[in-house]
Amino acid sequence: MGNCRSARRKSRLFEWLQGDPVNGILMTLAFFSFLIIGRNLKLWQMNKRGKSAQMQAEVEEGKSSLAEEPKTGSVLHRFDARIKFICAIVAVFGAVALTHSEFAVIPIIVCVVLVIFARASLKSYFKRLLYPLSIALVVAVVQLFTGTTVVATIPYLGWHIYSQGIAFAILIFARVLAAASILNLLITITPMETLMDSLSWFRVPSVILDTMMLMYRYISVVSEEKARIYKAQESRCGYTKSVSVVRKLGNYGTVGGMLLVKSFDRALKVGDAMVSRGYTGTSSLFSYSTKKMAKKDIAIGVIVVLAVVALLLADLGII
Amino acid sequence: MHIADGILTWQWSIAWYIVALFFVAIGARKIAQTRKANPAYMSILALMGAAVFVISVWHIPVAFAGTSSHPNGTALAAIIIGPLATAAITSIVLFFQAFLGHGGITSLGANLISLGVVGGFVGISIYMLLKKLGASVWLAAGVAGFVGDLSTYACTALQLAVSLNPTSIGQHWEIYMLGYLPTQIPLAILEFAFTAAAVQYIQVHRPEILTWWRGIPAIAGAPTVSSKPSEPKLSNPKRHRIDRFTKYVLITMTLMVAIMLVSTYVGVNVFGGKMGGTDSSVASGGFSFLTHYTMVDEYVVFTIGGAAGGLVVGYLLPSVFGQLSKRKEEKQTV
Amino acid sequence: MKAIETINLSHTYPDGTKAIGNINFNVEKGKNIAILGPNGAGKSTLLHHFNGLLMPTSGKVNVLGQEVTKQNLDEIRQKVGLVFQDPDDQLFARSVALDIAFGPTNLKLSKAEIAQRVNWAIEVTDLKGLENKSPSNLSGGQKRRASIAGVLAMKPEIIILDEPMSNLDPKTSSKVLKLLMQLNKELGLTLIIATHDVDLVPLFADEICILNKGQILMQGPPQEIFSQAELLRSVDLRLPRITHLFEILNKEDSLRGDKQYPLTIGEARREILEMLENKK
Repeated sequence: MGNCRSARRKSRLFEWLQGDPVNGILMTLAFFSFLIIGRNLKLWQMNKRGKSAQMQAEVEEGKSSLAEEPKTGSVLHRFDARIKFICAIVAVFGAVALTHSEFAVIPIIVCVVLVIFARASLKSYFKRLLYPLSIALVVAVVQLFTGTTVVATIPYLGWHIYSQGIAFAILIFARVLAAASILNLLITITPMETLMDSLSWFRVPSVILDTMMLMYRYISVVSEEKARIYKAQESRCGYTKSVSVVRKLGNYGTVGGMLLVKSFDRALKVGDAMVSRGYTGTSSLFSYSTKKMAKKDIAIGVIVVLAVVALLLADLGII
Repeated sequence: MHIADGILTWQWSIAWYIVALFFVAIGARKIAQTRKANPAYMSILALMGAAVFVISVWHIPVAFAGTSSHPNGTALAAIIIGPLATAAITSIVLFFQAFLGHGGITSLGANLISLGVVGGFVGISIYMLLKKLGASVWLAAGVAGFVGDLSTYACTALQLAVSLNPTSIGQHWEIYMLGYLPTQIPLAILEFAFTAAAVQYIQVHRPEILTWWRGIPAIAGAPTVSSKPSEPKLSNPKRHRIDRFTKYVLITMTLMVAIMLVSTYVGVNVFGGKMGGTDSSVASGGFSFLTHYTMVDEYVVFTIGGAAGGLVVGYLLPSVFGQLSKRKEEKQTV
Repeated sequence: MKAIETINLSHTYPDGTKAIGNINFNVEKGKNIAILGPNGAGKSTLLHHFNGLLMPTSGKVNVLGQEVTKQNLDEIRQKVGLVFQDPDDQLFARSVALDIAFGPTNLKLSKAEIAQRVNWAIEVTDLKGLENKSPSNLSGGQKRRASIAGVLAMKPEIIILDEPMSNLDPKTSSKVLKLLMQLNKELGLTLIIATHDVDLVPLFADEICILNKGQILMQGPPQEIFSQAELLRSVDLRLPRITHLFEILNKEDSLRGDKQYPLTIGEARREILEMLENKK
């Protein structure tokens, strides 16, 4: 039985090899020559961009993008963070539950419009969408090969592309785009501090919240420290071309280790500072604001949630 | 690897959330208990968490892959703050990352399981195990990072397969793993080097950081005590140590087995397998190369053959190497 | 009344390092004392004892006539405020106001009382308008004042500052110094300031304590301390620049008699004017 299966596999796997060896030779030649061309292309690009641009990128990287303060002022920014959070969660779950890719267009467009309305940077908005889409790409590609109705076949490999697969792939892509847009909008119009503050209203345990607040406070400090340590190594040629890859990775790791040691020392001092001001560890570190929600804000929140539900019902074909 | 919002179905998102909440709850409880015993624990946890976060969003160019990628840092986190606290910290890190475009809100539960729980626990177990076996700290940490990263990625692929292709989980598991292979192998190597170097640095300069979470001082204000750099401790002579030769043989063996497994996976299942997920006539995944040798006799023969070969070579080796080293000594004396 | 008094205080770290030994240190209430010492003299270790962060291995510490024990730590920490060298270590909350409120909250005060204290501390340290800013967005001087405010809100009687003027530009540094003087003069707080900035010490200190290798070398008013230049140099410290100038004028140029050297620019100015007057 096993032999039979493996025979079938072999015949498909090595068909092109057994049939005509020139195929394999040509493919190999093409692959490696283009490998070289591709690499040179990348090097050329890097040279063009120049060292200064790279350094600039490093400087920018040193500052955590979390720390950037959203521009305040628009109505959307002043809206109660808790309601924004609830709306976003409901909307994200709604987007995930969509079954028709057409309907995902609505949240995507609404989000872009709102970002423009809030006068936030569209460039950083779209930049943040890139990563989720790249993850979704592989999933979507795999889905192409699932289904029952064959619409095309990839030559040589004999893989079939199915119509159901194409539909599902598009749906996943649409869902990811919609959900990522909504989260993106939320972070664009809400400062992280306010967002975290609102979490206490959702009964998140104080231990987690305290840790979160402390972490958020020190991420920028640690990030600057990392940039400093890295610069110190870079200035002594730790990352130039002459350094081997293994050595370079080791240097990166050493920066990480130094960062952890420094953070540990700082943590001991922070702990001392807490204890010296009477902290005993029995209660939570911070008090969280418990403002009352404005009635107008609640009304708008209800409308948004209803809109999401309506969209879902329409998607399911009930309305 | 973070799953974005919208990839998993909503039913599975919620299911993973429930599993994840369980681990976060245990982690939070443990933090609360330790905080009571030592108020300064919070600051250490948060600062280490912040450092791990900074490391996890640090884009490191990986030359041989032509791209940059960032280490997960969960194995590293588990080694320095313990696996349970890692689960709690990872939930926070993922929350932050969700708003930076990595991962998402609905997939937070699933990501927490793959990164914080599987990655963390596998990482720390490998680290502990290798240290028990006598491996040096950097090696144990590096392998923990490597395996922790791979297990995270296997877990993510499984989550995708279970949610998206429930009819042929095993097969799609392999497909997803292969799909992300080009990004994950460099990442795992990066993780190996990074974790090894970082832990080695800490071991040399401040070894107490690696063990503090296992015995946190229970007196208020006591942590100042540990802020004094202590002398690096000499290795305990009682601990069982294996010699260099055995270590290298073990490493080589692991590597070879890993290569064989990966190649079998690629060779047998990608090109030969049928891709249709809904076709139930295809046997689901696993190491189907085993079907080539269904006869038990064959296993026995191969095992005995291998054992005999190893015995003979192992027997001959010391004499050959012994002669070599003797010759060296003679040369030196001459 | 003695604000802080230590009797044969010694501390040995668990790894065997003897940080301080047999220290007999005391400060009168309302005084302004500077602890001078080279790096690694044990300044931080000594200061941490006054707040109960460290417990003596032998000897004892009395704060306002009360011995520091594990039982009365809460009380001691309310009476003795500790300002850390790096403000980033101390400002851990997400906004300035919340950080200032941290201490009073731990004292289990009522909400109104906490708010009142926070406002008061903000006013005293001139931080108006920065209440809701994140500490990471403050300048160096603002961070320093915020960390002083955080301690002040606990209404302590003694404030200990570890290198309060380090890493600040001259103007900010003098602003912080003015604030400290104001706290001492107007609120009657006892200040204990650890530093190695010799030039600034005569400006504010009523008394100076020299610490070296975990031992008190000498303690007394600035005039007395700075008259022993050789001893200071032997422990890697020096005279204030202006005093050094007058020492050179005396020894190299024999311009003046064996009078006490001036320690601050003001005193020096007076003396120079006097000398010019006499020449005429």
